[in-house]
Amino acid sequence: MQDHPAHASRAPGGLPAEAPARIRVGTVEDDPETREALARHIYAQPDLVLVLQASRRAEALALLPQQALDVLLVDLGLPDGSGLDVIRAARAQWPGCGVLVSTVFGDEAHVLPAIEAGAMGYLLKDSSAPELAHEIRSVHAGGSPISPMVARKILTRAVERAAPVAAPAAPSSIALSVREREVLQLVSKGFTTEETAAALSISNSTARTFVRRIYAKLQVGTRAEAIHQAHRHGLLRG
Amino acid sequence: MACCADSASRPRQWWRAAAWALLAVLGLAAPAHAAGADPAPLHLQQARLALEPGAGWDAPAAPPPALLAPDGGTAWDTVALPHARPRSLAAAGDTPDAPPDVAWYRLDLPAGTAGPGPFFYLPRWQTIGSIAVYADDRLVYRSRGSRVWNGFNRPLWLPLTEAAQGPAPRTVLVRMASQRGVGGALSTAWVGSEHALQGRYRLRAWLQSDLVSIASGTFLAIGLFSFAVWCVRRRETLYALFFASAVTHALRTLHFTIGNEPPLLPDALFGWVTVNSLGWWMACVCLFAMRVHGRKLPALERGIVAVVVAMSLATLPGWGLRLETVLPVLYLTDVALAVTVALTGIWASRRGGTRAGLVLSIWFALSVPAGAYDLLLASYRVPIESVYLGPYVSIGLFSIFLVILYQRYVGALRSVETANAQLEVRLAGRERELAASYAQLQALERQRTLDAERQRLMQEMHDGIGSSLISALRMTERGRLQEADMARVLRECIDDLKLSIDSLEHQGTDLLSVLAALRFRLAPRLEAAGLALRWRVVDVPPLAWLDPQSALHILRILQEVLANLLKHSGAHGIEIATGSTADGSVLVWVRDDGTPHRPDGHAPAGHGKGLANVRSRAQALGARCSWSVEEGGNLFELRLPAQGATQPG
Repeated sequence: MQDHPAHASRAPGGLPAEAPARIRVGTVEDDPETREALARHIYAQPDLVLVLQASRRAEALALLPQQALDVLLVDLGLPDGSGLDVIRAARAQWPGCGVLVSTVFGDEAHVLPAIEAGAMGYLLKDSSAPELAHEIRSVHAGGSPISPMVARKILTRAVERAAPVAAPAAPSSIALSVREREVLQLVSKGFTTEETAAALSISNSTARTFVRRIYAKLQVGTRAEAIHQAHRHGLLRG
Repeated sequence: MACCADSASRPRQWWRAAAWALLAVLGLAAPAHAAGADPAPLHLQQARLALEPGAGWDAPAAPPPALLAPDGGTAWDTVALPHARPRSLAAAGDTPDAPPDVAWYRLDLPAGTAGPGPFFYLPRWQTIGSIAVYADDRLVYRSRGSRVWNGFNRPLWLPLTEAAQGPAPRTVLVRMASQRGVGGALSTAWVGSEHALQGRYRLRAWLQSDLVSIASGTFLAIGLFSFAVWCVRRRETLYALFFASAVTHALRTLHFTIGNEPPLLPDALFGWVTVNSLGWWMACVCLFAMRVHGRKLPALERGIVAVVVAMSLATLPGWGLRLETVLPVLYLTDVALAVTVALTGIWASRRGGTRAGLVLSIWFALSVPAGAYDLLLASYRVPIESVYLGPYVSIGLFSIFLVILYQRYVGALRSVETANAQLEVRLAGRERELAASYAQLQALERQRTLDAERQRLMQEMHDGIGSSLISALRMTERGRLQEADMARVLRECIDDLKLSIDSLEHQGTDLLSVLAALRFRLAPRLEAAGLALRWRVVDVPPLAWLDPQSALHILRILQEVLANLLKHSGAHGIEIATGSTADGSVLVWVRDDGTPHRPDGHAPAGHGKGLANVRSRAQALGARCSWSVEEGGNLFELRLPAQGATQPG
């Protein structure tokens, strides 16, 4: 599906001088309807600009180095491979880029691996246009969305590690601060980020950055595990 | 095979060890014997003999003066030592009550031949009666038992002077009082220093009686052990027979081993025991041998026991025949018994191929010549200085017994070990089978769970998304479905799907996680409809029964209730809250500020099908639903039990 060549995917009429002021958004999505809907929604927002559109993994990997990105929306189930590779590449190429995984259900089986690969949140595919814009702005501002299911899953990992067992902590476990744990507990009971922030007497954006920090820990855990595995298999020296 | 070589070589090693041990024991006595070299002891091989008619049983304090006179007064016969006066087997019936035959042996010690403080050593004497020894006119020894219980088999070892360095006497007189007609015998005698003679004395005492008493005591002790074994293992008759053999053997050897002490038994009973114990012992050996070679000869067994019992009963003191008169018959019977036992034992062992039985029987056969020899010795036809052989044969026999029992014991231990090892192997096998069947059960259970889950999903797809899509399709076909309705139907389908997915992912027992999923899925829909949602949940007790299926029931119930509110109540705000009761029930409330619907206890008007769905799901959970009217709105309550329904679903 090369009906959207790389050059055509550049924002039409987007001048380089305007670019820093607007949030540069990329989408990796194989379904043409969804892709067009996303493009339509983004065009409709004056502060957003669509600078990358890809429908396949290889295409996305090829386009990534050509254009700096602020926010990238990635679908995991691409026809020629996993979107997780795209997420990793995007984070490596543009460390400041906020990646959102695009998912139908927002279930932890899809979201958690994406977060471990470097994503900073998820975007439900049936989101309305305002919700889409809100999530893009939020992730660009340093916040991350979280669902109760994901929050609960992260808590169980942290709880496992907190158990007083002398055995080395599982590689997937993470250490949470008291505040982070409180945030996750409230979210897992169904409270929204706004309600959670109110309950903890913090601002909404602070609550969202807490979530971002928790996600970063998941990535650290994964990275540490990857290095450990590499050492074990003699892939790394020193 | 290794085990056979093992069992064959073991007895050989045992015998070698036993032989060395015996040599070592004898070696203790040998140096003492060789040590007495300095003043050569006097070996008296000649005596003078005189009979004293009319004398009584008791030895006088001093010998009649005539006997000590240098030459006159007494008619002495010069006899060579050892000397025997023959036993007449056909003695008169009243001999026990008749006065004794008293014989005096006079041993002259030429002046200067014995040093000061000499000892008198008499290797053997024998008679049915008593003995007394005088140094010159002083009584230095008299046997204190009875005529039968007289310690005849112990060598005499007497100091001839009162003072340690007193002058040697000129004459030693031996007075032998014997029951009439039974005769008597005296061995050669030794006079010399204690140092020179004690080696000889000790060796003889050891060979003649000490070894026999030690052996017989040892066998008795082992016999008691065997008896204890038999008491708890009644089927192991060998152990009981060993005990019986040891007891009868001890009784049999009693008269060889007693010393100069008062009798424990009346003479008649002692004689009866001494003579008959030989038969008892042989019966025990016979029964033992039969159990070793394993050939059943019940007639022989019964016959031998019958003969032995008959002999014992026939000679019972005060009731049966007089022992003395039937003694030759008894001994001949014993010989016949011994020959029978030995021959049948050898025959059966050869037939059965039992080595142990063969060795046992051949050794037992030795008791026939040994017994004959002992009989000759007892009737003075063999020089009196010889040693009785019967006890030595029986010591050997007991050693064979012990080897047999030892082999059985070790064999039993080994077979227990083998059995244990086999048991462990079988146990491991059973454990493997159990593990396999458990794994099979687990697989079945897993399959069952998967099947149930699949069935549940099918049901959900069919009743939920499936029927929604079908009805949307029908409406589209008839041109009645507007674009907005189409979007609504599809959104409902997606919501249904999302809740199904959430229920699949559900883990744990916390109701709040189920409610959180509900809010996460449905809040956008409520907000889009302009409804404000207040979230008033508090922690509730865990619900052990909250599996994915129950979670989906709860989700669907609340989804239906919320859908109804959206459609019919015209509410602006909704509150969802939780609570719990003292009995552990968990409550979920949905409040709205819409127009009050029908009075308390009745479901609101609307979707009949949807409400029926709510009720059936609640019933499956064992939960209760109720609708009520509150000030300014309505209240729906879902009461979930602490314990799940017996058959959820």
